[in-house]
Amino acid sequence: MRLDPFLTQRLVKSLLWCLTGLTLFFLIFIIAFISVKGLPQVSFNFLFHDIEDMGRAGGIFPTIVSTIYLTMVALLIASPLGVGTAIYLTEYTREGWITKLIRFGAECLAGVPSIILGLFGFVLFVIKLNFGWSMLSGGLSLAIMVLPTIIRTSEEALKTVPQEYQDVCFSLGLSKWHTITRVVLPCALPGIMTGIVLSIGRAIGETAVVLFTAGASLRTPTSRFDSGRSMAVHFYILAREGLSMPNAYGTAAILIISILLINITAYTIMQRFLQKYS
Amino acid sequence: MNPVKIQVRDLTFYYGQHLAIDSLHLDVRQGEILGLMGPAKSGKTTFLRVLNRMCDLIPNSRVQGNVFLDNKDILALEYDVDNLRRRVGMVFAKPVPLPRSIYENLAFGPRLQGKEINSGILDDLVEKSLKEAQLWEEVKDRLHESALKLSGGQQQRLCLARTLAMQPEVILLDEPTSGLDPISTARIEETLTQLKKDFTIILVSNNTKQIARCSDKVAFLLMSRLIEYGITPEVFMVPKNKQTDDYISGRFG
Repeated sequence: MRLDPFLTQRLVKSLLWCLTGLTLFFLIFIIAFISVKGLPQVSFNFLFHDIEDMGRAGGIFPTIVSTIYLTMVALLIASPLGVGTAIYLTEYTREGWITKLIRFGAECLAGVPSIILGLFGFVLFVIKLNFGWSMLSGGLSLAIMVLPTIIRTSEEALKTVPQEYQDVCFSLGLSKWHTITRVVLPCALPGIMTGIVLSIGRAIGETAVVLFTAGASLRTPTSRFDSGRSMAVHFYILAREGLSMPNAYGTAAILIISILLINITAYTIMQRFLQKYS
Repeated sequence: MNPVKIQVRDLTFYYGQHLAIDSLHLDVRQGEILGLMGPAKSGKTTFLRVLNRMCDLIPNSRVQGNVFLDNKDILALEYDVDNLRRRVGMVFAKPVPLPRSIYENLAFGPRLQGKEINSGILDDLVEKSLKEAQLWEEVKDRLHESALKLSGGQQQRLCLARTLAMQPEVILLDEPTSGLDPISTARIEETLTQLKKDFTIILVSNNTKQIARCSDKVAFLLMSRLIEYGITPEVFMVPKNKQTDDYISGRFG
């Protein structure tokens, strides 16, 4: 039996629309659920006050500081490493078994479960290098976690820069370094930034890695060797040990809203950038 | 007679196993326009790419022979390639403006040459180059707008101006008027005849009439080999070779 093409078209369209709608529904449902449960807890005191009574009372200020601290350390380490690797892979080598090996390695790294990464960070940074449970150990471990994302997205971004731009630069007698820093990188920047923003989102929300490497101290970290709990870890401990569900939801709300805000800001900045350069 | 600027001796070029230029022998004098013509895949563009060592970027390629620029072999290992490319500028067949303003397209090359350059001199250089490329009048009021907004013919002249801003000695033009309307083409040709006072120009074109109009000397390439080389009017009036005659009169191509 043959279906009427017009009918098929409408059927497929509504099916695809439903699938998209369902995806969106989950996203909106999660955000709404967390907001409704968590936002009533959020107040000035909640944001800027120390944790009291193991989290049953007080605010979450130390966890916000820890989260920012850990994410910054992770990005400061992973961005140059990742972007550098991507530049090397796309600009300084020809396709061969070495590039394939590096790419395969990065993909394997992306596939390592975060709990294993946490354990690895614990063994290497906390014990072996004696950084202890600290912002540094946590940041380094998070850096390893987001590195594959940054490499992958930067590489894709660099590949979209037309080869002609480089030919033009070389024909003007520009060195390879100038060509890359002045022309290729600016053109690839929106794509690279997307990767970095994605990584921020992952690093902020990561629990297992941080729990093993940064510890769960209640104090506000003031140096890179201080321990501290991130928002995600705080939420995990509050919920798991049944200390205070309202405060857990409050933390979750802040967490999810900050990730949303970061994504929106980055998107806006990127749009501005794109308009300026094209 | 002007001194010899470029001497090509026994130049042979391979892409992998494919022979792209077969023992080419030819001189270009200072202040001269050499027209290069020939059917597709005859080695014209490859030859241009050898002259500023852009051929280095082609994987699996091999070059033999010598090319002397002011009596120095540019194919020698120790030759400073970046410096060579500043002296031998190139305009590609397809205009590729960088995604920046018109001004920046011209200024960024000179600015990165290493030596300090003050903005007054840079402004003058941009203006002079745009005038030489006959683009100044059309863009003088919007130098800081994106170069991507220009029309095809304007983009091609912008690319020419960008090369001129590097103050090269030799300019290589790879079909600078392909895809342009007759008016833009005429403007570019006019520009070329103006420019040869100060530059040595090598012009590749599929348009034999253009070669006849613009060039002083002409070289005809066919299947990687130089078939005929001589003073333009002579070659077009009385070609020595039957294949040249056929090509010029459009009997194959």
